[in-house]
Amino acid sequence: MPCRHYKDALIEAAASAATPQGELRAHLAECASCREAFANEQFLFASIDSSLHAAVNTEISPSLLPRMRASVNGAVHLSRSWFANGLLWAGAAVVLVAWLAARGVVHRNAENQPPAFVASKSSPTASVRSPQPGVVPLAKGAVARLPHARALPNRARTAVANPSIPEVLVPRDQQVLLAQYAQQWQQHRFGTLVAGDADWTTLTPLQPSPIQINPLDVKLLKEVESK
Amino acid sequence: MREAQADARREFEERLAECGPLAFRVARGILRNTADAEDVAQEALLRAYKSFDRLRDHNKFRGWLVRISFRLALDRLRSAKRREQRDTLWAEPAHVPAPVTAEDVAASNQFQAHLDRALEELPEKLRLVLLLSAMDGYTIEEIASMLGVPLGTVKSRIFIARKKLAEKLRCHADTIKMR
Repeated sequence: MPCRHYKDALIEAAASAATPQGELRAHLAECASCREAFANEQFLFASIDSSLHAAVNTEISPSLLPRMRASVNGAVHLSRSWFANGLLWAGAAVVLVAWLAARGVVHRNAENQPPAFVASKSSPTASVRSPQPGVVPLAKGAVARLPHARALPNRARTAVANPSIPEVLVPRDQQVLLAQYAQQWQQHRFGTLVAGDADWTTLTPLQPSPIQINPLDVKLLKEVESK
Repeated sequence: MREAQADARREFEERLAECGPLAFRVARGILRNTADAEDVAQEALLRAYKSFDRLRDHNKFRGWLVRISFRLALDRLRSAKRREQRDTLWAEPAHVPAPVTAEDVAASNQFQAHLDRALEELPEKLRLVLLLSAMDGYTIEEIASMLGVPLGTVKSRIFIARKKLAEKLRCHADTIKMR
């Protein structure tokens, strides 16, 4: 056992790897147990140092640096491909947005065009089959702008807007009048329409073709049975 | 733009040759396993490369890389410990073969195990300085400049770290003496 008074000084001297000086040195020269304790401490510290040294200064594999370079190069290529992919996606997004915008503009222009209410046989709308002779379908856009179209329920409006279905069937004799009416409506001349400044007498009444129902042939049951 | 990138890359490659081994050694000092240390060093370099442009003072690269490597190695060590604990809990008691090697090897292994445990208990600041001081080729002045701390701080950290380790290992002195 080292002397209690010199114990800490011994450890500190061993830890700092310095040669004991002064009083401690003189004591070590006299005290065998302290000398032994000091030697143990020095051995302990030397063991710690050598163990740490061995752990840290191992041989480095010659392939380590090339591998590190390769992994860094891999990261460079990866980041480049990310960049290229990013550019590609950004370009695609721009094209898509431009296409959608152009489509929206075209659609808006088509809606703003005055409707071709009267469809001649040569016009594209005339190619839609008319269910009755003398009845011509009205252009799709015109229907949506007609005042009564707003009053229609959504489903009905959707159905009207469907291009595959003839939307409004107007008899030939009503076409001009309806076109004039729609034009007035488009020009926001509601007063004209409502107040009746227009010459209503010129409006010929609608003449729907009468429904033809064949007369029913009612026979008594007994007669049928006798036959 | 491309030229600047190429310059930065060239500079990084130069530093890689100089600092790659350092990153590996720091990791090896923590992990005590060469393969793991190589993985950690590679990862540390990759991280350093990705953030190289953001490093204002490129002269601080060495200290920066050392810290990254040190932290990654600690993380890996901790996760390995957790995995080990989990495996021990779930697995059947492992059959430990009796040591067939010489006594000194056994004693040395025991001491190493105690030292590893004592090192893990050291504060990180002390541990890093101690590892760097144990490396060949780095003086205390270099360590101080690498870590950006005063020379006196490095000296005192080394002193305290060694003392703490010795305190923990003193009771195993007999094992060491067996060698």
